[in-house]
Amino acid sequence: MPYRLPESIYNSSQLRQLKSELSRLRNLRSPKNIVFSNNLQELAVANGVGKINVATINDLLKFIDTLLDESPEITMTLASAPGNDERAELMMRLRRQLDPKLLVHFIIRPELLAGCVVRTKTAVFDMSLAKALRQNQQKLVTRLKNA
Amino acid sequence: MTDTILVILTIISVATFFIFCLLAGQYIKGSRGKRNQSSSQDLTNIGRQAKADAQEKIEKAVAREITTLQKTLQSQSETIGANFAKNLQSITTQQLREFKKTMDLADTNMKKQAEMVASQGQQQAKDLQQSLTDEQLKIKQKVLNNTDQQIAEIMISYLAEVAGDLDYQQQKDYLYSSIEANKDAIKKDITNAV
Repeated sequence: MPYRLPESIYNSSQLRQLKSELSRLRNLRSPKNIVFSNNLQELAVANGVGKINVATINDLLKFIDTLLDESPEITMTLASAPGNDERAELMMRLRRQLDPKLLVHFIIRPELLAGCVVRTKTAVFDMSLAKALRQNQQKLVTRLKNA
Repeated sequence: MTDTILVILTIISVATFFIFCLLAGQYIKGSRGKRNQSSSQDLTNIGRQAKADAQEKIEKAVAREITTLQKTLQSQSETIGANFAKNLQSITTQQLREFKKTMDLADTNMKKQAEMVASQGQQQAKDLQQSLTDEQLKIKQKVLNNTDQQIAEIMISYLAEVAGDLDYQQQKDYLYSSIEANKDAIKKDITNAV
């Protein structure tokens, strides 16, 4: 059964935590009074897993290992921190536009003003407003002088 | 040269004349001995008279020759002096001409060198001035660029302060549009990396 990665799980660190959590669950002898993490609940809901048992745990672990091996991960620097819903919306857009299994490591830097900087393993895409302003510095100065 | 030969010839002629006189005296002396052996008292008188006449003639001839010689010598001396003066003047004139020529050449060379040095100096001054002008323009441009950059940085800092109040929601459209604009390039890079 092909699993889907929910938008709330967006980076490899979360995947490793899930893997650790699932591994602990699999090793428990009497899984009672267990509180699942939000991410595990999200993962279960997103994939229609009604009951967490050894079989589903193994399937999820296999899915997470695949993601850790194959998912492309980028670093995205934003000017301001998105809320959970906004981040989920952003992840949905990014996975639709770039890759369904995309993982993102977010960094916040207000000096970008707006937009973002995307770093892949081999390149940097600076789409920030600060960069745009510096690129158009001459226009800015000209307009300031003419103002 | 001709004058010198004339002087030598004159001296030779005077010397010949003296030799002739001496030989004549010897001859007269010899003939007087012979007369003493064979002539009388009259003959002795005649001989004395002849001797006196001959001596007088010789003295006159010698005096005439000496006068002529003196005149010739004076004339020759004057000629030599004139020639010497002429030659000296010619030599001096030539030397002066050579000296003037040399001085003119040296003067011309000095002028040329001076002009060359002046020309080089002018060129160097021109180059230096051009270099200074270029450097001034560069500095001016650099200062203007720095000023523009500072203005831009001030403006960006101001915008950063203003944008600090902007939340994610307010800049979401800008973020999405910038990602949309670059999605193909990012996707290509991600795919290649995987």
